[in-house]
Amino acid sequence: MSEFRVAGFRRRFPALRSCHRNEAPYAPAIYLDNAATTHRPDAVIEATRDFYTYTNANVHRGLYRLADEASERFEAARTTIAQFFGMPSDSELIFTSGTTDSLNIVANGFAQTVLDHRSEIWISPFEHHANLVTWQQVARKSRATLRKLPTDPWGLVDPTALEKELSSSISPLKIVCLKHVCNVLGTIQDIQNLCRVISKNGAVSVIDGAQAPAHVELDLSSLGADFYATGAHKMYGPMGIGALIARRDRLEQISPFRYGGNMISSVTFESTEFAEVPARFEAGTPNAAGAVAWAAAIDFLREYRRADLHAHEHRLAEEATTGLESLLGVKVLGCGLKAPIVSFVVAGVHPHDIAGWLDQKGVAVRAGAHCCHPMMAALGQVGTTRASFAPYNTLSEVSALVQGVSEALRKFRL
Amino acid sequence: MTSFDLYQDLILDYARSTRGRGQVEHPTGRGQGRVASCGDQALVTVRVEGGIVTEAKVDCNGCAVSLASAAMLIETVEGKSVDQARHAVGSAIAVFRGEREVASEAVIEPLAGIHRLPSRLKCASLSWHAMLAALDDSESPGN
Ligand SMILES: Cc1ncc(COP(=O)(O)O)c(C=O)c1O
Repeated sequence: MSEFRVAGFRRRFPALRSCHRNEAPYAPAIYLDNAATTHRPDAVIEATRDFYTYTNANVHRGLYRLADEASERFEAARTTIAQFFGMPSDSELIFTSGTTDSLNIVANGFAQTVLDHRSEIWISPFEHHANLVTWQQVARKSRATLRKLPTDPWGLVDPTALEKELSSSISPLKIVCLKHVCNVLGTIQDIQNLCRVISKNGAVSVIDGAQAPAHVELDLSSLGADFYATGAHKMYGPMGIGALIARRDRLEQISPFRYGGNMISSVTFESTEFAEVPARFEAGTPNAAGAVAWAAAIDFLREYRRADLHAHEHRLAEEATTGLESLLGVKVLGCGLKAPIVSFVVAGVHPHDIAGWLDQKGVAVRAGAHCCHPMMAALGQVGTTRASFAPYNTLSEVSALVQGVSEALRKFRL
Repeated sequence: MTSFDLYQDLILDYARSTRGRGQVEHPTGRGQGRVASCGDQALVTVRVEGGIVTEAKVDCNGCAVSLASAAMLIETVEGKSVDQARHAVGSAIAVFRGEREVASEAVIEPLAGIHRLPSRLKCASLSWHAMLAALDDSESPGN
């Protein structure tokens, strides 16, 4: 592996090559919304095309060679993805449509069957709506109690504080739901120690790993999570595919709640026997091309040293943080070691106006509440402006961001 | 998508004006609006006397577009009959959506191109929807 060069990495992303910056002023050329979704390299787009061109058949169904090839590619993709995540041997990878879908499977499949009025769901206001709203609904339906996790002002949970809370609860069944990497602040939870505490106290951990795979080297076999939900599109893979990686004994407790093809082992007119996991949870035609393209994203990443990619992203985030904080009235939120996600607020200027101004300058950032309304309330903000980086971003793009924000301050500070 | 200068001076001037900000004392009607995606809110209060909107205000924590649009709203409705006000608000929402041409010399003229920025359409129309609710509230039997 040779030295990491941004230009070479960047060239592999067609969305960055074909920017029509001069023809269409609104087309964002400088893409700093990678926490919402990244761009995809040629290899991923090509893999999708290749699957549909040369191995297009429904998986696990046809009795012809083409169908076998499709199934083989689909299952090979599962293996590649499982290896990337360092999946423990006592667990399974279920394909889903994304992180939200994975969390909903845990909530509606596992939790809904085991929770009752004595159970507790531990979660914090810092969670993404995909996690928080889902568990609110489960709590309502199962009459379990929603309990607030102890957090610091940035949403981080201290394992010792958690231990104290969990060990003093007498509830017979506790589920603890946490995001690994915060989509707003980039803060990273100490998941390994938290999972240890959770499991030591007989509770079940559900980890929202939407943001993690792009920025953290994952080894789920040492992380110790009962359920880990994640997706492809924030790590250069396609949209519409994700995974739920879960301990097999936990999965065996889940009754399937979506019914259809592929998830059965035998059906008579009156009754059905369900297939083994993971097929039991993959009803209907799966997104096989998506799985293959996700595996291609992983193969693409393997061409680089992850440490190089992360070092470059962090350099960008640090430059952005320093540049933004040098502007009067700008405050970057969060603390500690972070993923390259930089959320900031400006006294007297609404985040939409900063993002709107940056958009006019060709810089795409996210602004608002980032699907985390209770978190904004906890931070005492209406919203934030968020720049999130990928290894194809450059230092000159960071300068454009800082320059744009500095102009916005002059324009909008009323 | 053709370009539209969201931050032209006229829009910013409206955003800076404090006219019609806050809440009417002893309102006859109230209406609330909220943009789900960003959480921005607007509370519209009106006082209708003898069928005329004598005073209206918007309490809003939004961005420059929603503040400018709120100031334009107040300028549009004050002094009109409830029916005229409702009609004017309905037409403005249609202009924001790009469903009709803006009338010449209309107050909302600077925001007429907002439909070219679908993600900002909600900022512009937030207080106008709340105004429709406030006018309805003012005429509801409880009042
Ligand atoms: C922390 C977090 N959780 C969950 C999600 C939902 O992911 P998806 O929309 O891919 O299902 C996101 C995406 O923004 C996220 O950032």
